[in-house]
Amino acid sequence: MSDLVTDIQTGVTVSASLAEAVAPIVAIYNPGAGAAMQLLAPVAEQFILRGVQLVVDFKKDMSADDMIKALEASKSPNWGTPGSVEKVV
Amino acid sequence: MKRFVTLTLLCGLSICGLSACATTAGKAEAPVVTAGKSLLALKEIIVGTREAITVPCQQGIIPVDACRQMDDWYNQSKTVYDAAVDAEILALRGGSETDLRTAGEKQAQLAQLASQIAALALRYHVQGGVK
Repeated sequence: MSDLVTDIQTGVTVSASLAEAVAPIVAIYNPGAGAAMQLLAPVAEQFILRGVQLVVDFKKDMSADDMIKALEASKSPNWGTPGSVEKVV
Repeated sequence: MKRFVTLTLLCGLSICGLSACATTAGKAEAPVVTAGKSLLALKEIIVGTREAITVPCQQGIIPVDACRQMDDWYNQSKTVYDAAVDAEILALRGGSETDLRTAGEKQAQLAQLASQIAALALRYHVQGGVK
């Protein structure tokens, strides 16, 4: 992908399209960025998986210990087993 | 000039918004905690997209090749995510510069996978993702 953007705070680089996708989620736990997110919303709406917004339950001021617990609980063995993607005939 | 300033501000805020810029009530959040939130958000995108494509794939709405590609990326993302989490936890526990760099690299890999999965799903107008 050529449309990369780098977050100035974390140094993490992602594609611009993903940045648009993540933006509404970010807005939920970071009301301080609300104005920018409102500007981005019409674009992001095309990208975002709308339901994702509903299930992201970030605390606004998470401690490092809370984050560690959340991350440990989120590892892939806890993702469940999705249904097959093979066409049903 | 005003337009330039507005665009610059908008770009700055957009990039800032990517990983939350992490201010809550004016208090700065540790960047490493912010990075953890971004990681969780990426995971939600990946898992949500994989769930959302299941029925359209089974119904043949999305081509077989695209379905298998997204499923492959999903499976790859599990390994990358777990490695990213391990690195992030080390960083949260006050790890070294190397830990921080590894966490950033793994998160970038995961973002790439999430981007690919979401972009391909959206090509077929997949919108879902509620668990």
